[in-house]
Amino acid sequence: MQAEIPLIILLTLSLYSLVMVILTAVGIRSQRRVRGRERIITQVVCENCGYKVTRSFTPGDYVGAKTREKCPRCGSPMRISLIFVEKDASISRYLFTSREPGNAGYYKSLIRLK
Amino acid sequence: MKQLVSSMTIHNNIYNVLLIHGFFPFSSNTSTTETGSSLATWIIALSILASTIMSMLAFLGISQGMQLRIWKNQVESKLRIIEGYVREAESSALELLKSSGARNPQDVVARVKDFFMIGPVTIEPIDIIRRLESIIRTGEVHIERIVKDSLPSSISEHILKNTVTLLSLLNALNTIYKYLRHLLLLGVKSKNAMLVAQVWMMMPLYLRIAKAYREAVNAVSKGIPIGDSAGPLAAYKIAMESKPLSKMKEIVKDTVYGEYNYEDRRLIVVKAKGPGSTVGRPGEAVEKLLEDTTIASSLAAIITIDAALKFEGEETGTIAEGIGVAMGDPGPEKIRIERLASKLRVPLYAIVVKMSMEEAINAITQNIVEGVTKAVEKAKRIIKESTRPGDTIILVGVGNSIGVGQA
Ligand SMILES: [Zn+2]
Repeated sequence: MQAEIPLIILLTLSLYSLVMVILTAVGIRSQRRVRGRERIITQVVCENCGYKVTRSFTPGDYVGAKTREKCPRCGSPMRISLIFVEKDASISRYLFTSREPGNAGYYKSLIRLK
Repeated sequence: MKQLVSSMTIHNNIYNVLLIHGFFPFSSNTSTTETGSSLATWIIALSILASTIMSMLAFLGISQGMQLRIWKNQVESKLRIIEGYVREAESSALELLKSSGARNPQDVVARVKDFFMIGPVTIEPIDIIRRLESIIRTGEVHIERIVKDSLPSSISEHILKNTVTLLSLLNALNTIYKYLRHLLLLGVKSKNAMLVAQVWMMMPLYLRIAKAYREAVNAVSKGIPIGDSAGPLAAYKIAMESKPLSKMKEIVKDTVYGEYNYEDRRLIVVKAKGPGSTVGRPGEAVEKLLEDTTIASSLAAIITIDAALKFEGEETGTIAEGIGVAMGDPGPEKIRIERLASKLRVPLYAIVVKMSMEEAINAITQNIVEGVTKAVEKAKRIIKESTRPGDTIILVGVGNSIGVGQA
């Protein structure tokens, strides 16, 4: 009978620590996803015809810099006009607005379709 | 009284039940078949014991000490997080210094990490602005020289500026960490539970600030524009959309200006010199521009565009217009423009792009960029509505010009 007492305590403790481990793991994972999802965009604009191209940021980019890229439409030199972090980079927004199956946005879109 | 009686009867009932069923752990006649029920007995017995002990502790005033210990432990765990941020910032600063070929990176970091400035005497207001300016500028130049002396002479200006900003971020993080640690240790040493409680309550806010600084380290080391770059970005945009009369050139330290023709008005655009991280000296630049009598005599408006702290609940990137100088400096630059405007009787128009403290020092977001576009439209509207062709307008893009060059 006396062996039961440590058992229940051990069970409670192990359950508690298991929950804590899971919570921590989920926390770390979601943090990583936030950082991974952040995308920095560089917008390049043609100096001649105003054609705009967006690509990811590369170190050394700055607004106003002339780049080596040539305009795909007219072949003129291009210039960086904007650098910014893409919208909806945060995980919570992603979870609630993404249309991928498994996220809230997916079910919302299903409801709307009906 | 009634409550007490009822609680006592409940207690008696529990004991009776326990005794009748032979569940009480110290009674010897328990049978081995009732293992499930005896577990319940033990749990009840232990919880009664625990609550008795707790109430005794509360009565003796020991629980406050325990609460202090809980607060202390929680503050300590948050402090360890901030300490980690300090170390992260330190290693990024070292990395940046090493990659640009610094001679003694360790020494530079150690010097700037604990650098401080002492504010001027405030009980004697005469000249306070000039004294404040002198302290700020000396500090600025001093840190810049420490970094410059360590780097090879061929290093580009924007890398120098970004390194200086990175080091001041490290300095800020280190100061937050040391100050909070000081309060905690003081509270524990003097057994001041209220002081520890205050630190504990403020901790989430300080952690938020520290996190923002940590993210800023990332943006600054890569040279990405930050939220505070909204002003210089707006200046760049309006310059690009007008007919240039002259190329942008440096007028005072770290500050550039260019002349443009917008709707037959002479538009002078002032911004900090990019793409290095600096706020420049916009006040001094305007002062110097107005030494030119042709500008001073035809001046019709001074427009400032800056990032401003939003209230919680306001949306990032919304803009607002107002009157005055939109500038977040400690005073010396702002006062120059105010004095000149009142002397020349020129209206001061201000446009702000709203953002949170975190957003102001982190990589610029799409919302803020959209706000900048709106701010530029607003500035154009103000120019068209409140000035006539032939007038001169000075437009200042206030803020940090990291990642924002000039055309
Ligand atoms: Zn083109």
